Amino acid sequence: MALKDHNTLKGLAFLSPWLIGFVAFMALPIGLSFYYSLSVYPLYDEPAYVGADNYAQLLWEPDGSGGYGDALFWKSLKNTGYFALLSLPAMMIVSLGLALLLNTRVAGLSIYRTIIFLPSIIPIMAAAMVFLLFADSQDGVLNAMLAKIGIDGPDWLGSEAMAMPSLALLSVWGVGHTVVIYLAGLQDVPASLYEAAEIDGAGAWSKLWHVTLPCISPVIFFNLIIAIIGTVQYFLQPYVITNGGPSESTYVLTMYLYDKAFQYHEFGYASAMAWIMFVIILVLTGLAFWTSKRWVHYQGE
Amino acid sequence: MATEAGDNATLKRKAHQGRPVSLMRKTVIHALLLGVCLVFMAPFAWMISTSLKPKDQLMAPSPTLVPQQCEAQIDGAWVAVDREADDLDITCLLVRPVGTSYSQVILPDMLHEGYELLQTVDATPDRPWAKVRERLPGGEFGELRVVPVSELRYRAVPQWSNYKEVVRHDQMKFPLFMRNTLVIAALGVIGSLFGSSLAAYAFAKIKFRGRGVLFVVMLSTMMIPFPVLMVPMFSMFKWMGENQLGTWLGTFKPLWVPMWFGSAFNIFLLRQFFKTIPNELSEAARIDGCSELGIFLRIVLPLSRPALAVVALFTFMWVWNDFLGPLIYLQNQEQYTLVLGLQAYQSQHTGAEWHYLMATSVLIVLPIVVLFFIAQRTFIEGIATTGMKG
Repeated sequence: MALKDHNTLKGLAFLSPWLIGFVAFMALPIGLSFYYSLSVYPLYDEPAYVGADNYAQLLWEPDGSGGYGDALFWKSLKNTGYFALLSLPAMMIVSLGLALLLNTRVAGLSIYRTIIFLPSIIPIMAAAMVFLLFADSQDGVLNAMLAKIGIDGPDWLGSEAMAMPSLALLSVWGVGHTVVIYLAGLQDVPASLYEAAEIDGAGAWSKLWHVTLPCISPVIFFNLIIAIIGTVQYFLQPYVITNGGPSESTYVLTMYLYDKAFQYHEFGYASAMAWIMFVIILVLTGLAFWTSKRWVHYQGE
Repeated sequence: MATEAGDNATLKRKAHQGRPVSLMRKTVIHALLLGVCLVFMAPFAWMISTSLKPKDQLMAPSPTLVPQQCEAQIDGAWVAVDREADDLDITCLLVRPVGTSYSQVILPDMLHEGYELLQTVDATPDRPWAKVRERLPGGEFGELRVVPVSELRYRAVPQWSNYKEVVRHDQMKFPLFMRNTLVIAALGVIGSLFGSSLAAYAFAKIKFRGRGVLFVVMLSTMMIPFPVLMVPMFSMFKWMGENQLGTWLGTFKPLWVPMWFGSAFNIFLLRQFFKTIPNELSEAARIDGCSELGIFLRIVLPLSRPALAVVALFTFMWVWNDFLGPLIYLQNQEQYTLVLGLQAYQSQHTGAEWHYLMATSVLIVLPIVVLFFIAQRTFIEGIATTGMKG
């Protein structure tokens, strides 16, 4: 018992920096944020408790023109959802596909891998800048190249229909990070399983479906969770590239939150939005965990 | 997710042992990968190309990948010129208003005594003339001249001076922003090595009550989105400033101090590595009278250099890339980081200054790419580890 207490002290001593940080920069802010979300809090005044008013205004109060809640909030939420619908499946499929291609035995793999990986580590700001130039409807090289093969390229960033798909396209460019994680997972699939499948007469598709995918399902799951958390917070690219436009078609949840907090200084309202975002992440990851029992297989369990 | 103790954190490099790949299949794989790589490299190529273009070539009607320089014969010698976007395709006149030292193009019926006629431009839609200005040293331009388009020539001359101009630019304060970024990155890297390794050691090597619960709490902080924290943290820092508890807003502190307390991602990564170090080593040291801190400092840390390198690398890149943090906490331009400075410059010069924007982007990307090539294994293994044992 004495040894245990001693260990507890030692453990807590080593853990103390993290514990202090956790309280100061996580627990306290989260508590404050929840309190703010129930308050009217103009930045240069004290927060005043108002109950669920912010949530009501955001979600269900009639807005006077036939709708409920804050129309711009719903729009930004819808935009984030739209972006997620476009980019999540594209990223998951492209990254897995590339990892499968890279997990073959052909020459020059390390060069391919490096090239595919590079865009994912460069500063997103630089990627955003080059994409702005690249996809410009008049001066952009993308449309110039399309014109050469006789295609009249769309207004990638300037039209309501194309702006969000263009941003999703950019996110696929940065998929290399996920590819590397998949690749590591693929390389851990026991060769004996493939051999066994081959003896059973399995073809390439059958091996992919019955051996590869089940074996790397924990990695798929991990990547999915990370992607969900990142996508709900999506901010930099629409902020820099389209500034939420045209006509707010790329105005995402975090942009509205940022504007409310740091342009209009409505900290209470922004905090309520942050909590809704938090709950969305919790629900989505919870859903992923809940369904994971059916499709994620852990080896050796 | 399942975490196996003693599992080696390094990525095993072995392609799966199937039958040899057939030639047909190899060709298809190469074609697909080549295509993808071309698409993935294209923006880089365009970034570098644009960063080396003269200003008048940025919006050229048919963009070229190789940076071109427009040249014209002026007074018998070929000189580099800046070609204006609109060519002349009707007869007009190059004139100089009397008593001035500049020239301009007017329509013939606008000529009156106030103008000194310099040149008649007999341009037609089939034989257009270009308006050009000689490029002088120091970014200045000579007076307006007209030259038949057919008498212009283009040569592949990269404008390395764009980089020099960007670094010396009085609005895009590159050296200052670089210094700011490096200061924050250095403090952040040292801090996260300190805070994360201490916590990781507790989670990996010390058995104490509540460890499991605390570990789960620690991991779950990864799910907390920064947008949730940024509003209360801003108001906390503001409150501290108002109550003489230290000025945080408008300083680098909000960007690096929190890192000294460790972050979930880094703690997790280090813990995975620490667990692979055999306990026999620390037991032996303990028998020799070594304290827990001594074991941590003298045995575990030196053995964990690869994992510490991953943490240092990722933290550096995180600071280098971070945008929302500096956007919120930094209040005057003197403190901007590179990424924030680039964005500020871009938003003030919409569209026109692509050569400078791309040169700056290249300068921001370059250190990361260099780091990547120096530490490629560290990168790949670090990322693979987080995914595998996540």
